[in-house]
Order: sequence, then C-alpha cells, then structure tokens
Amino acid sequence: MTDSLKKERSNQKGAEQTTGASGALSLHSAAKSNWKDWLGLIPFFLFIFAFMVIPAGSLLVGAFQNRDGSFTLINFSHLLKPNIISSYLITIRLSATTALLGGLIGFLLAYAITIGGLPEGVRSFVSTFSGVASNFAGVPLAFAFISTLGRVGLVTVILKTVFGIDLYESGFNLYSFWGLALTYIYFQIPLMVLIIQPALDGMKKEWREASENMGASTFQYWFHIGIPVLLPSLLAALILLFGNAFGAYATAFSLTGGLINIVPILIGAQIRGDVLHDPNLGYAMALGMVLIMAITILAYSWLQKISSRWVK
Amino acid sequence: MGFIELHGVSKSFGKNTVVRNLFLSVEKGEFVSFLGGSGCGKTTTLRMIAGFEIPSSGKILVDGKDVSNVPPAKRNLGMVFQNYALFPNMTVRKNIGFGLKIAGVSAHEIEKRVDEMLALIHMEEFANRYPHQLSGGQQQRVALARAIAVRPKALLLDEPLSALDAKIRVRLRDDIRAIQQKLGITTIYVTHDQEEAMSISDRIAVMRNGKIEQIGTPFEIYNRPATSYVASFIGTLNLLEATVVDANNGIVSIGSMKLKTASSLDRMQDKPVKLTVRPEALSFANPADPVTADTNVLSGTIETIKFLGSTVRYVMKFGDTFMYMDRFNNPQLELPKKGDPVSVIFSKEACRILPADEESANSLKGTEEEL
Ligand SMILES: Nc1ncnc2c1ncn2[C@@H]1O[C@H](COP(=O)(O)OP(=O)(O)OP(=O)(O)O)[C@@H](O)[C@H]1O
Ligand SMILES: [Mg+2]
Repeated sequence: MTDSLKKERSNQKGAEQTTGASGALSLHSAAKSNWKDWLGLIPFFLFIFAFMVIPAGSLLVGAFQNRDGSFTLINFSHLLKPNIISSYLITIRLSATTALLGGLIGFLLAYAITIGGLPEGVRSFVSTFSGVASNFAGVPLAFAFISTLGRVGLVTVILKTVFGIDLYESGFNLYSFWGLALTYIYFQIPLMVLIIQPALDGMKKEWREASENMGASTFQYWFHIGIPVLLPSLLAALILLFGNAFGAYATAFSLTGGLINIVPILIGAQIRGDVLHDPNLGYAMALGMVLIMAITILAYSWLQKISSRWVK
Repeated sequence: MGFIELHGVSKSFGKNTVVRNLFLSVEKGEFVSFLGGSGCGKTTTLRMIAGFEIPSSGKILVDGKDVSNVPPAKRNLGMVFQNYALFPNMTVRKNIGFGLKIAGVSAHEIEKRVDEMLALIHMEEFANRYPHQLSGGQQQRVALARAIAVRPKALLLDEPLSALDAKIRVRLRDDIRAIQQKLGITTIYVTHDQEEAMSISDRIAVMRNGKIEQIGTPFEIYNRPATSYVASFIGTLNLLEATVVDANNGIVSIGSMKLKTASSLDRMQDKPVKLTVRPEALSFANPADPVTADTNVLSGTIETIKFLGSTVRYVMKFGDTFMYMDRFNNPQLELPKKGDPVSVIFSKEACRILPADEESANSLKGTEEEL
C-alpha cells in the first residue's frame, strides 16, 4: 500500500510538471500571435479611448484648473466646504444603507430560490424579474414611486381611505433620505439577487450534509463553512451595490429635485450651468468620488484577499 | 443480532416507491456492498441509514438502538460522498479535524488525531493544502480520513471512487479495504461496479428495484446466483433461453440442442427456463476425451475472438445460439478465425437453471449487435 501511494504521489508530481510545460507552451503561442488577431479589438479600444480615457483625463486636468485654464488647487479647498462635505457624507450613507439593506433582502431572496428549494417556476420568475427590475432606475423609477408612494400616490391614498393609515402623517416622506433609500433598494435587491445567485448555486449540498454527518448544527455549518465560503462573493456583491448607488443621479434628481444633495446632483448643478456654475469644482468633486470609490475598492481587495485564501 | 439492521424499510418520494420493504443485517466489523444498476435505490438506502432521508416505513437499528428518528448529526456514522464534499475553505488538516472540533475535543488532541489520520492515508505532507490543490484520489483519501477521525460507529460510502480514473480507483479501493480491516470498522459501501464490490466486500447485497435480490459473499453471488438478474449483473455470463424436456434427468433443450444439468427440475416439465453457464466453465473438446454422462459437448463455429489480456474470449455460434468461452492467454495460443468449426465441452454442474419469468440485466440477447 505504501508503495502504491508513493507511486501516486510521484505521478502527481509528474502531472504537475506536465501542466507546467503545457502552460509554457500556451504562453509561447500567445507571444507568437499575429498582429491581425488584434484587429477585432480596435472598435473596443476606440470606444474605451473615446468614452473613458478622454473624459477621465479631462476630468483630472479640469480639477486642477481655474476658469482661465491655469493650474490651481482652489477647487480642492472648496471641497472642504461644509455643504460639500455633508453632501459626500449623505451620499456614502445612502449608498452604504441601500447596499446593506438591499444586499440583505436580496440575499434572502436568492437563498430562498436556490438553496431554499422553491419550485423551479418561482425561481425563473424571480430571476427574470430581477433582470428587469435591476435595470429599472432614473425617471421611470422615480415616477413609479411618486405615483404609488407619493403624497397622492395610489398606495398612499388607498392606505389612507381604506385602512385609515396616513403614511405622511406617521412620518414617512418619499422625498426624504429614507424615501430615496427605499427607491434605491428597489433596484438594489434584484441586483443582489442576480449577483449572488450563482454563488449560492455553487454551494454544494454535500458540504451541508458532511458537516451534519460530523455532528455540526445548522449554525455551526454556516459559521464554519457557509459564510466563509460565501464571504468573497458577498463582499464583491456589496461593493457593486455600493458603487451602483454611489453613482446614481437620475433617480435621485427626478425624485427629490435638489432636496437631497447627493454628490452627483451637486456635480450636475456645477456643470449644467445654473447660478452655481463652476465646472472645475464639479470636476474636483467627481475626482473626489473616484477617490472614494478607489479607497472602497482597495479596502475590498484587501478583505477579499483575506477571505479567499482558499480560492483557486 | 446485527450491528446495523434494517427492518422492512421502505421509502417513497411522492407516488414513487424507490425502496421496498428492505431487510438487512450487517455484522460488526463487516464490509457490505450495495451493488445494483442506476436508480435501484442504493443511495436512498444509504442515506436513510445516515439519517438524510426518513424511511416511509420500517425501522433502522444501529448497535441495538432504533435510530429511525435520530437526526444525522446525532447518529455518529461517518459518511464519504461521491465527490465535492471536502470543505473548500479549510485545509486538509482542518477538514479532517472538523468533526473533532465540533465534538469539543481539545486542540492538542485534535492535532494528534489528525496526524494519526494523515499517517493512515499517507498524506502527511499535504496537511496544509486546500482541497482544490489535491487530485481527486487525494481528496477522497482526505474525505475518508475526515469520516473516520471521529471514530464513528460505522462508515458509509456512496460510490466514493466513481469519479476517479480506473487505475487510481483500483488502488484506492484496496486502501479503503486495508484501512477498514485495520480499524475493524463496520462499513457499507455503495457501488455499481461489480468488480469493485467483489474485490473488497465481505458480503454483497445485489439490489434491484428497491429490493435486495440476493445477499451473500462474492464467491456465493458469483457462483450461485439466485436469479438471472444477479447472474447476469456479475461477471460475464452465457444466459440462454431453454425448455425443460426431461425434468427427472435435468435435461433441457435450446433449439435443437439438448443439454444436461445438475439441477433438480421438479414440476418444471416443458416449462421455459434460463440456463446460465460462465464462459470460464467451457473448454475446447479434445477428440480423445470420452463423452461421459456428466458432460455437455456442443459443436459450432467461431464467430469472433476478443482479446482481453489475461484471457481470450471466444464468441461462438451453436445453431442460433451465441456463447462465450474464456480461456487463459498464453503466447503459444493459436487463435482460430471466424467460421472455423469448434467443439466445446462443459460439465453439467457448470449449468445453473434459473426461473425464466423475469428480465435480466444484460443477457446475451445483444450479442449479435455487439459483434
Ligand atoms: N429526493 C428525491 N426525490 C425524488 N426522487 C428521488 C429522490 N432521491 C432519489 N429519487 C429517486 O429514487 C430512485 C432511486 O435513487 P437512488 O439515488 O437511491 O439510486 P441509486 O441506486 O443510488 O442510483 P445511482 O447508481 O444512479 O446512484 C431514483 O429513481 C431517483 O430518481
Ligand atoms: Mg447513487
């Protein structure tokens, strides 16, 4: 038996060497690839250049310019004005709140249709609906919420006349932070479902059963296996949800006008050119958003590294 | 009283009954295999013993106690799954130690026990690898170690080798058997590979349609199959439709041929039966041999030859009937060609008569297409 094992081990080594060799081979063939192979990518690179590199570059340059186009840091000192700081804070709070709440509800929903074992029909309905709803944002979404939960919205009116519940009397206001959060959560939930569903599908039934077989409770299973296995995907999903809310503009603008000053709305105001018109400050604010997102992603990739040591 | 006992256990999923009134008794330290075709209920039965499925009726006893209503976490039975069952987020060491950790064993003791287990499966140097860094065979070794680390009352394995390639499969099954013998652990092993079942089991339960068709040692199952299903499921077999022509003298006819058997055919006169004879029971007739009352001699032609390595399989045609004959290979062998006349001889004891009124797993009916 020992001999056979040794043999298997040496086979194993042999196999590793072979894969090493074939890896080198494929690298080699990649290096040899013809310039013509890259032709197909030209439209893609042009697109990237026109709509990502140029705007980002002009944003970067513009943030360091005054109206006359000469170098200045004044835009950044303006960022420290209380109204702009508070605008950043409220944007972060809105994004984090809706990412967490939408993420939680979306996770539970995704769990129900995957591991929870709801019928196939329910599953495909939720998936399809999520695909549509996660893209439902901007003016149409705001309008939908206004006409259902606005002051004279359908649900508001029905609750008031039929059930005698006055939403607005009891503190709810669609045009407030929580009203906006509620509206965001409408697309955060389905987005979470879409992102996390594959991860949940990848959870093997055997892990659960093996842990049970070794005496573990449901809690112990989730604590030692379920959560650790899902953590990288959960983190990735939350970041995506955060970014999704962080950059949203149209929904907030059409729902609350300028009532809730999230950063994208302030930027819009600077660039569109009403009384406040100062595009260079707008650029600096946008750069600030890029910075926050970059920090978030850095923190994320650090957490990701810790949580996914075991991943291939 | 067996160590694991199934008393009239049945299981239905909705209207579909997949295990029917099963009785089984496994002795302490015994290695029993469930062998059968796909969908015959092997996994379901094993999962009922493990506690993952609740029997629709009947009782399951482990070590004298009725465990029918005990949840899997409290049964203390080790289980090895087909694949994918190692925890991907834990190293080999953590995987093997998981059950002990859950049981509240001290860290020091876990360390010691895991080392023992690693030595047992000869994987000491893989202790800190993650499952995805292991080959399939190594993963199953770890799964085995993980299952026995908690010293379970019994070990349950559901086709643990079926995802591995043939060579590793043979090596690992011998290792499983060796470890089982060393620890003396009662083991139930599910497989659909008859060779695997024969090589490692103390007893084999051949299952079909949710029932145990026959249970016995590999030797019994192979040499004295109770039904033509069992006979044809295990090994290669000549399974021929026959009619009893002389019940008293054990003589049956196949087409125009008459064959002598050693079976008692009471009350079977003129009834259709199945005659089985293993290919290795046949040999070429030597013209010098006298034909005795105890032997059958058939003359026919060679249809084709299959070279199987250690043996050579002759497919021959006698009238409308095809038969296999296996002979040991040797380099001096002169292989006949298609159409060459042959004469084969086999004893009447080699012929087993089985009831005809059932289909069989893989009778020789298909031979003609196979050729
Ligand atoms: N959870 C379930 N719900 C409904 N039917 C099931 C379930 N589990 C098994 N079955 C059915 O029960 C029958 C027996 O399944 P089982 O898995 O026990 O077969 P098996 O002998 O292990 O087959 P295989 O060799 O393919 O693994 C099959 O027809 C299967 O479709
Ligand atoms: Mg099975």
